[in-house]
Amino acid sequence: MRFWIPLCLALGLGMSSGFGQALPAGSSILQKLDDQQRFTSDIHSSVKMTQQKVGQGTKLLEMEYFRRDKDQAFLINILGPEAERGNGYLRVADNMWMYRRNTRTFQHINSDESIGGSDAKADDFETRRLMETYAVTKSKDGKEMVSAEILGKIEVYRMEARATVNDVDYPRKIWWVRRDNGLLLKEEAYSQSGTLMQTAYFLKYTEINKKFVPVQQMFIDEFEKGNRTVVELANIKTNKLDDAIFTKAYLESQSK
Amino acid sequence: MKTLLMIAFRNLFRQKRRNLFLGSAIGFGAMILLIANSFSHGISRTLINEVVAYVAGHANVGFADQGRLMSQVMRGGAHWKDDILKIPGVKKVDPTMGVFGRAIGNGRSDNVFLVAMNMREVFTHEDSVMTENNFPMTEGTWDALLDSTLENPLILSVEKAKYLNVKMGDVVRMRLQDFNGSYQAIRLTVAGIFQPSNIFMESALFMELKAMSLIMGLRPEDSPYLYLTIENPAKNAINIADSIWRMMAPPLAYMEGHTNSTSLLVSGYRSDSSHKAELWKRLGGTLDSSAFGKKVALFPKLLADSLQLKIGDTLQFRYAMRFPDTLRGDSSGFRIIIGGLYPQTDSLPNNLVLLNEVNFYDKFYDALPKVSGQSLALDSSSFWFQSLTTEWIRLPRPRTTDDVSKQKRDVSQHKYKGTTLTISTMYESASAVLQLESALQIITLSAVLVIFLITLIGVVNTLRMTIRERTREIGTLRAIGMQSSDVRMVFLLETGLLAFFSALIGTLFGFFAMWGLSLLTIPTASNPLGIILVKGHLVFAPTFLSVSTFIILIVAIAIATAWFPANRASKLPAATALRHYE
Repeated sequence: MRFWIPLCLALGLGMSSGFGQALPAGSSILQKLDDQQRFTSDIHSSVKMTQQKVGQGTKLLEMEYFRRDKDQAFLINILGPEAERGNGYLRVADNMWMYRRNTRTFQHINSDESIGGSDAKADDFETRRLMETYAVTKSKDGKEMVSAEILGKIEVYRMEARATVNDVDYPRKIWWVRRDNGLLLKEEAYSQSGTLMQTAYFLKYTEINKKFVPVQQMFIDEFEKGNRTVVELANIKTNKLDDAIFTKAYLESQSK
Repeated sequence: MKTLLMIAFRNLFRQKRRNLFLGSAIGFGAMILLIANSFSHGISRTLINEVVAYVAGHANVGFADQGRLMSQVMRGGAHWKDDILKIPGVKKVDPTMGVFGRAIGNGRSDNVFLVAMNMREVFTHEDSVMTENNFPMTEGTWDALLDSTLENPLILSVEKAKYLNVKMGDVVRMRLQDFNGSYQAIRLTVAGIFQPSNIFMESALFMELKAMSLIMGLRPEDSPYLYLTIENPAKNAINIADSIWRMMAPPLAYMEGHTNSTSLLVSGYRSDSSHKAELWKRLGGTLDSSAFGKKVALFPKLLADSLQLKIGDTLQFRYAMRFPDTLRGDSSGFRIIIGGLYPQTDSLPNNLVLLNEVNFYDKFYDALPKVSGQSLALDSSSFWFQSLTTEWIRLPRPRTTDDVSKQKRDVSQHKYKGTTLTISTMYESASAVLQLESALQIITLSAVLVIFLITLIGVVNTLRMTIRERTREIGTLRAIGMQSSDVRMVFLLETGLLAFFSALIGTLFGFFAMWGLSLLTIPTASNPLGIILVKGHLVFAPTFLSVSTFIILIVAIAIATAWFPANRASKLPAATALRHYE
């Protein structure tokens, strides 16, 4: 009976820490995540953002999102709630405008402006390569902080990374990435002082043009407990979008 | 003249009751005019001296790091404080910073504005008075911000403490974004609570400058926003701000370094379409548009040929840092990807590599380079100087509040890649306050003039009655040889004396009324009026000039009004006047 004990332990360790398996290089996991995020076509989708805030109840924001790949131009047209309907945002090159339906005016704004009064910023709709902004953290003995774990019932790699540039929201992140297909399942974001600020769960993916797109994400505010935001994407299309969409005239026409 | 003056003075007492009523009306008008004027002047003085000067300094030097309005930092600008202090008339330069964030107390959270308080430098008597006026402490003292036994000491208002449900010694957690845009979570310990003098000061939370600098990612060589205290600001502030502006002409920004053993100069070029188009033309007009991409560099062709480099090749560039740090030592470096090869031009050094400013400034501010200042010497009016990056971008001096707002909008919208520098005084930042005072003055003056118009109708009417009553007397005086001009003068002097004494007494009553009103204590908590109060009291600011102007104005108007009836009386022939009978 005695040999069963180490054997069971070994199996157990194998399940939880990937004993016996060679862990992939952190950079290759990062590269894979980058490749998944990187779309080489235009995108059009519906976005539903449900924001729950302590003492403020739940706010639902629905919008249409258009992105042109060649210059990363984008247009956001807000569909609801009624108070926000018809408002929108347009970005072309370095310029970004906010359109207000009530006043029928365009205002030149910064990309860190809040979208429809939510916690989302225009910056959040831009993609930035992880390889250029983060590097996998190394332990004192020089080993990359990548480990094999089980998240729920799914085998994942847990990877810790630090920002290599100053201008990122969170200087430290931990990712849980599926071992079989490299999909990101969970992300923890930490402040400079090491406080856990936000946990993101990537709940549901869909396959479009051989790429996996997270269509349901949940962001939990760990700093102010009780706040959470769920983002859902639907009707994702990747066909080429008409250049006329990325114009003020188009945004204005959508408000009528 | 003396006789005429005595006659006029004596006449004042002949119709005592009538003159008393008329004088009371003139005195009342003078009193209202003085109170209204002093009040509007007091409002602007309070707003400028107690609020604007406290919030923005007599003058200020502001930065927006890479075009981000909330990142008020100049990388490597710490020495500017001492440079500015050398300017005659500058009494004090205070580095400061403020940031919006989310604070969580005991079960309650709120949006707050965290402000740095520079406690390590000597507080002048004026500073202490101003701080005590604006933030009288109810618990603790301002020195508590320096208490090293507490974790990040914090001072906040009674209202904010109540809202966050915290008391002395409690911990407030706060989330904010530092100067780099990264989220920071901090723990602050309540070390003092103050009763704000006005609603404007209610939302601010204070912590010590040095502690906050660390949290905000400020390096020792960096400078945050600078507030200046100036001797006689009304006279000197604008001139001093102009001097600082001239002193802060930006030099070219570049790095002196090497790749392997070849020395290189690396600078940036302005990436807006007009500069890029002109640059393309001046660099031979053959470069592909991709050569101007954000991640690639324009490399001198001759040098590339000698190093056997071509488009798409990469090289490692290293340069000495102006401020060595423990992490990187004394040098830094980055990878250069060649995006285009430009032909030799006489105006530029033959080893100058040009980066798109977006790419260049990121690297430049991340590790400021040590430069000799001789390698890239260009005439500041030349095209090349205008097209290459400078260490900072000096914006024009604003002249009004509109200019200041426009400049902020411009920084926010233009997306400057370099750090912008703005210099303004409270007279520009608060020109709207001065305009508000002018508007208030016009409104009060108009209202008071209406009162005077009604009063002066009384003056004319009274004078007509007096002249009618004294017609036979005028005839007698004319018959014994008094000139018609003297008759007119008697009536004008009588009116002038009445107006003068009434205005003087009205002014005295005005001062009494202002004294009484300023004794009233008005609660400031959550009171929008609190912004114009000092320690809960109304502020009146009469000036000698305004008081004397009003008295002269009242006397002049009264005399002008009396001119016509007095003139008519003087024109009466003696015989006609003597025949007059009622």
